[in-house]
Amino acid sequence: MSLVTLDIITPERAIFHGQVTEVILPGELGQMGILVGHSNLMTLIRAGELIAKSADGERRFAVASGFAEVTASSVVVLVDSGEGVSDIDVERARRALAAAESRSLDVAAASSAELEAHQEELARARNRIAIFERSSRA
Amino acid sequence: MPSLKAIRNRIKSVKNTQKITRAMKLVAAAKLKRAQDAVVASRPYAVRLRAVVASLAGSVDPELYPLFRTTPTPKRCLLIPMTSDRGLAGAFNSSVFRRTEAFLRDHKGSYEEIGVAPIGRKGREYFRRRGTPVYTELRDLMSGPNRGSALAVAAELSRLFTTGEVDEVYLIFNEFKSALTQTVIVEPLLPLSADKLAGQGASTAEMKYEPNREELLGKLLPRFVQSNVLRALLESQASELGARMTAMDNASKNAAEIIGTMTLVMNRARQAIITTELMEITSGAESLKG
Repeated sequence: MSLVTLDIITPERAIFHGQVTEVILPGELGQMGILVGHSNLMTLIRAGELIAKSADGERRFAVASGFAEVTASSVVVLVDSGEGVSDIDVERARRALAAAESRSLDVAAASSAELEAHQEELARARNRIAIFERSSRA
Repeated sequence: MPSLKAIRNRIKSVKNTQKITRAMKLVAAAKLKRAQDAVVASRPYAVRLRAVVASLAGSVDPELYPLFRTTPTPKRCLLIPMTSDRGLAGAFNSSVFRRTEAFLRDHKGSYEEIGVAPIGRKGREYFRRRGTPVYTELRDLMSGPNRGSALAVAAELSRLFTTGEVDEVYLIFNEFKSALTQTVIVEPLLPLSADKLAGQGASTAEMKYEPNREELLGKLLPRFVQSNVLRALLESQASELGARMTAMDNASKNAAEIIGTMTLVMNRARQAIITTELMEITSGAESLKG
């Protein structure tokens, strides 16, 4: 079976590189599954769960927003942050969420860029917690 | 000739200093390894992002993006010298200061105003002492260079730029070559140059964009600025540790040399005392024989 090369890269380091059979991306316009031979595509990614399926099972990653570059034989995902489900520091995410939520009270005067950054922060923390809880239930 | 006791004390104090410089060298060497790894680990993202931004920059209207805004006659320029919080790092900080001063001197006439916004405690203290107007102080880098600190710096600089408070932003930092050599470079951060980027863009194959090119580039540009800041911060950190390691290695060697010379002097002094005593004894015995 032909495979897709998947790279997941954050500004600080590469977190995954390997051959997979299918990638499910949390695209800006909804989830999308990528198989080998996909047409060339550049898409925004929002905070969510990225699933890499391969012969030995699937690996799940919590990723923040970013973008992905898809070609017939490769998927390169560049995200602001991300980690495998087992590496999620859920306590830290909860603290980040609490901190972000308590700050949201005084954003009336904030600029749109600040609001956007704040939304990002909330989404990132919520996403990590959601994925962590889903995986610990399973 | 100084007394034997004075020499012994001096040797002891140099030995203590040497212990400290040696320890600092070892600590810097251990941290340097990690810092270098961080520089290397951050490269794939930067390279990839640059390639994508470059490929998009050529095919959209740069007028749409505030980060591309160029001013025909830039009035206000902002310099970001990156320094360390701690000293004893050889020429690390002073070479950044020298480069910054040179820039201020050379471009005095080209801008109405040149501001300085240093990163790092040493930089803040230096420019405050020199009376150079400090535009804004970029703090909160205590956690070290990571995405969070790069984001904070990039966001602040982008804000100053897009609101028109400054027209150009330059980063001045040490680029890491090796533990022995670091070169200070001045890198324009803002405005981003659409032409320069487009020149580097590879010819893109047939590509579909979601949601569309314009929005995609709009989301990528802030990240691109952030990635450039992160790179500078990481290079600067690795350079600081490299410079400190080299400086402390030299200091340890110098201390060893001083100890060597002082020991020689001490032995000579001791020998002189023994010889004098012997002379006194023999001459005393001679006189008794009479």
